[in-house]
Amino acid sequence: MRKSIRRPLQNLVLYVEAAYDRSFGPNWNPLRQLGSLTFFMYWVVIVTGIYVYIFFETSAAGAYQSVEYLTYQQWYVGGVMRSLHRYASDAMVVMVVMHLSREFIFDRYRDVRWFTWFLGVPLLWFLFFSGISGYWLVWDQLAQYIAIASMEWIDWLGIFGEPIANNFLTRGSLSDRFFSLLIFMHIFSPLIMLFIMWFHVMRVSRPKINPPRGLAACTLLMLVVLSLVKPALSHAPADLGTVPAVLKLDWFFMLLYPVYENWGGGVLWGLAAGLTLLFAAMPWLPPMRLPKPAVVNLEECNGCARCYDDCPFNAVIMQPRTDGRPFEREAVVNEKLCTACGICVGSCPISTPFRSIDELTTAIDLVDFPLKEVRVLTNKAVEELKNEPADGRPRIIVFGCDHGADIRLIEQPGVAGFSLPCIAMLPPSFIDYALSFSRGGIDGVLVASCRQCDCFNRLGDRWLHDRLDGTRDPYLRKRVPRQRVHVSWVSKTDGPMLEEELECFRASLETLADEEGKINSVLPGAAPGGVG
Amino acid sequence: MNSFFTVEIAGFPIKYALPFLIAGSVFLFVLYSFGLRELFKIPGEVKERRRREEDEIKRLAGKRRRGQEKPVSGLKRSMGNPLRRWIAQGFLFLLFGVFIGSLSDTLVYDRIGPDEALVKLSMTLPGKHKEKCRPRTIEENAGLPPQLRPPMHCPRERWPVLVELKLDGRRIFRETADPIGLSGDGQSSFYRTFKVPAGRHRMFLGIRDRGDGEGFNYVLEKDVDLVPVQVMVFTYNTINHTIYIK
Repeated sequence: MRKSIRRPLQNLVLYVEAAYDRSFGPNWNPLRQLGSLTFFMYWVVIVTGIYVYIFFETSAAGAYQSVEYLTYQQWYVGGVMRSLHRYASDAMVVMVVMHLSREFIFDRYRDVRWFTWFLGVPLLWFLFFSGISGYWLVWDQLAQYIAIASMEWIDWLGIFGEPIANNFLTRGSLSDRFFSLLIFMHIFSPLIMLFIMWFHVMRVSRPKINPPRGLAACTLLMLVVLSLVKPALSHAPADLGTVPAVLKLDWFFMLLYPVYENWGGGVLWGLAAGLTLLFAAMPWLPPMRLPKPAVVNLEECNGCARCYDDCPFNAVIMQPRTDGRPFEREAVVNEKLCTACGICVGSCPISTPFRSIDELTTAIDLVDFPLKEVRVLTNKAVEELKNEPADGRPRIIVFGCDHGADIRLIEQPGVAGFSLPCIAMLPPSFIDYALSFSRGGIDGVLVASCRQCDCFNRLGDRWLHDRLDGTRDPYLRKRVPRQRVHVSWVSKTDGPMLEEELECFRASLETLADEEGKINSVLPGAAPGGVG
Repeated sequence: MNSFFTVEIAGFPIKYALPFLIAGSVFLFVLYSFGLRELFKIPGEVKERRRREEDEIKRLAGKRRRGQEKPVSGLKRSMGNPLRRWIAQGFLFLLFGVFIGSLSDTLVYDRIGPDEALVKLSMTLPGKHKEKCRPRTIEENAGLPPQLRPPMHCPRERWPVLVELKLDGRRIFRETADPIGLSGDGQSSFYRTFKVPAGRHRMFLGIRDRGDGEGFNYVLEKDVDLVPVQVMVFTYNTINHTIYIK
């Protein structure tokens, strides 16, 4: 049921993201920077809010006039700041909604990620309250409407002896003290939000809280242009003796108010409470069943801390040695945080298939899909390729990712491979190992990763890139001919692209073989494949 | 002192900034004192990790410069020529801007018709006590120490309050509200709003704050002229016990 809902949504998002990839590139793609852009919008709101507050008068009589002064007399700075304050808040709502939708669609909120998701729920309320309290401060007809509607909505609970909506009953019934209280709430609500946002990201390793500078600058520029083209304006001043009849609502924050007016406070409370509970409980509806967590083999571990560095969920910790071996530290897996992605296995320098032991072991390994199984599958694929006819075309071994394109889509003579839980589980030495058979007929290695910056396990694509690029340990050895290794960044919807890239790769290998043939004819005895 | 508070910097009165600066400084100081500084300390192991990473990157970058290692060749997602990409980016940013701008305040929400007014009924009043005070009997006071023997027994419970509102002889509201409080001794509250056509109307409001008998203790019947989008409030003054219109 869940998959049947999610799969079409995932495909839709992946197609849209592919379009954004073509325009922005993977690193700048705003759909993959929603969390960090939310942080950025938050800072824009804070900075512009401080400026607006400097000129704001916290009184019923002066609030409207001070905002009008900013909008008209000081439109070039104050007006822009006010508009930016509003539009950045709106953009924040959009990004938050898209962010949580995306996490839901790709199932990135259950099990070890419950904490992050769960803390996002109160953030929604604080965001709503921060926005609404800001609109009150302008004290125009829109503020009058939402103030009264909010009070009536709270009064529905019947927790106050006298309806608090009575504070807005008639002209002159509103005091300046109320504005002081409101500004206090409008300042402290975002501060509390910031603390929760900090907790929201602290459990993962290397959280992305800053978008790429260029993307941030362009987003800010877009908001500045919008502020100049369509500055935020107030309604007529509030007048408690009349009804605000025609309103231009900010639908990002005020969508619930028409619901309240049409269906009443009870329905809205039911809706709000029901959705809050549902969102809070979603990580356990139903709980995710993960494979068994990684285990550390102390006999092999030398405490190098590479697994600790690479784990995207801070599930590996380093502690003083307990087995008396002459190393300072040892790795320990926190089972509650481990997703069994296998990235730690790929980071371990001992995870090499060249070891001449029958039962391949490593210092940190998965229980359900150990490294020895990876070597067995690699050997099997190599044997398969060596024994089956490839119609004279290059033979290629493919390492795929469970969260990327399905490599079964490119099954054909001369191509064999298997998938891993995360592409970063693949130690680069396995590429070297597969190509070492090249004398026996393996011509190339195709690594089919998920799209860049879209790793289900957060950092897998990045580590793969850096390891193969030679900027992160364990890196691909220099003896491996780079022309025989190709990385495809492909998602589940990129089957045709993977097929196309495979074809291109095979063609390039054929060209390479022709060139090597020419060299061999001139220099007899040169090794084919270039491995040495 | 007064002159200091009237100082302006570039047209901005300094007095407005002072509360913010003082409160902000105090807030930050308190946070800092209560351990915020710990949050900003980078743990030793993180420092060590960063240092190792930086060294490694420098070492490998040096190797690459010397041509010892080359990056893996890999096709990236096709992104077209730069000009087309910039145009596409601009278009997508424009789309986002239009989306934000249009939903921010362009769509109009009509709450009330141009020929309608709003009548609010807002009152909080206590019902009469259900029982009157009576002298306590000797038997009732017998078990109590002499200084704790009250002369009168006054039950606190109050009657629910009934309110009825009629517009041109047609009843549009009739409701009974129980008193709040665990002992049922608090006030009864009413808060309702009604959209009514603008124009001249005969309004009737009746209140009964006692349980016995029929009819209303307090009544207001009046012709009112309502102009479009006007708010008219029926309320009750608990001091002089009268209904009045604001």
